[in-house]
Amino acid sequence: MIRCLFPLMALTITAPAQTYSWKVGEPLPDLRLPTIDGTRTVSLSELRGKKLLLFEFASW
Amino acid sequence: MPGWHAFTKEWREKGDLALVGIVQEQHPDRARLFAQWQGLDFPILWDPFNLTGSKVVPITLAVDEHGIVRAVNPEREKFEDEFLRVVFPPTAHSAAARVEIPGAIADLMAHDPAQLDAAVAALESAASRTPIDSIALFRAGVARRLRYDADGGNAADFQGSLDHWRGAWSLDPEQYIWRRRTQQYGPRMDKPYPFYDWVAEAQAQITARGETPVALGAQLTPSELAEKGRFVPGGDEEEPDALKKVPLDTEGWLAIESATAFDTSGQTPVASLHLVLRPNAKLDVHFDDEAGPVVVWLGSVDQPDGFEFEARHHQLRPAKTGRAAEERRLAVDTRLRAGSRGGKLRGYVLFYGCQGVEGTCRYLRHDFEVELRVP
Repeated sequence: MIRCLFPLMALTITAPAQTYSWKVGEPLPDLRLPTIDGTRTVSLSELRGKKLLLFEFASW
Repeated sequence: MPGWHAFTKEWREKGDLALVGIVQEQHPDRARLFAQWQGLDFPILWDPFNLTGSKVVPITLAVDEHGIVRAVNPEREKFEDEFLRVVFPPTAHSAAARVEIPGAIADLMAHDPAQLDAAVAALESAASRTPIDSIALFRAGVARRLRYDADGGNAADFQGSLDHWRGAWSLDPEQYIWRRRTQQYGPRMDKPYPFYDWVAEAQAQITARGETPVALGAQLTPSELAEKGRFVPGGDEEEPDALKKVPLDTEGWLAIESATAFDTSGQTPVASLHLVLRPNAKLDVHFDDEAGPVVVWLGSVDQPDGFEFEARHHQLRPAKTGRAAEERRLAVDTRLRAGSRGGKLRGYVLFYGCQGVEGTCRYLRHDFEVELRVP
């Protein structure tokens, strides 16, 4: 049992941190984030059906 | 961005356009206050871990009805003709990329207290692997600061986040969002960046409108308020217990935690010192705010050239929550001589404390020592 677990652990440990960057001509990614009031989460890939302006900003 | 909000009002009201925001900030309550102040009535998402991977803000994306990004930072003059009025065909395109969110990050963003320690440990473990991954370092820093801001958060976590952010940012100096996260908590720069200097005005205007401003959890630091530092050599302030008449806190009624952040310019070393004064919960100690303020004296420094403080004598106001057992926090900058590698800062706290509801109340002195190491 223990031997079976090792390959899986190795896989998890070596996985690099994932990141993304915006690209013109590509769909918004399936990236799920909470709203600032914490009441729900939204995946960016759900945002379709209407034209959209997406602002990435900081209040500072 | 509030400019775009006003600019697009008519189209939004007709249902032709939707707005969504993503904030690259550590504290979602501050973004909530900003949205309340500016009347931003669209969904705003919170991305403290920088999962979008963006290195700068602000970024504006024009996204068509099929969810395809059509422009980054579009021009307002061409917005209607070249985007809004254009009917984009449902062209074949690659599937939406999936950004995997590690479970630990999802738990932290959901503010799940039961998972807090395990989530921080998981991200710390990711940050400690070799080769060093700057993204993992940044995220571990975010996690540690989230735990510092949670109930009973320890300053060691804040120090951990400062160290991780400094490491992450030094590996990727172009990462403006990470650099700002490091600078946000001090020390103040010669030309301070006005992070949250809008907060007081926002609170006043919201109150004048008859609304209650969104309450902020974490205390704003002098650096976040862009107050310019005024350093004095010290010496003209009267030491409150120079004769050591106040009895020492020998039973440990108080514990002092500290975190220090050095400036990112690498010139004259300026440290922002964050102190947390924590009453001993095991001994059921609380501050007696009615008897008098908590006083912090920043005293001697065992460094040949000395340090400069803005002020050495500080009085801490009662906790905002009114809970006498709540820890008190102080953020203050100190400037070292050029070329200094650091030294030990010694000071003390004078406080009125009580034990239990009907227990003894005493006036005590708690000496402390903080190691300042220039990175």
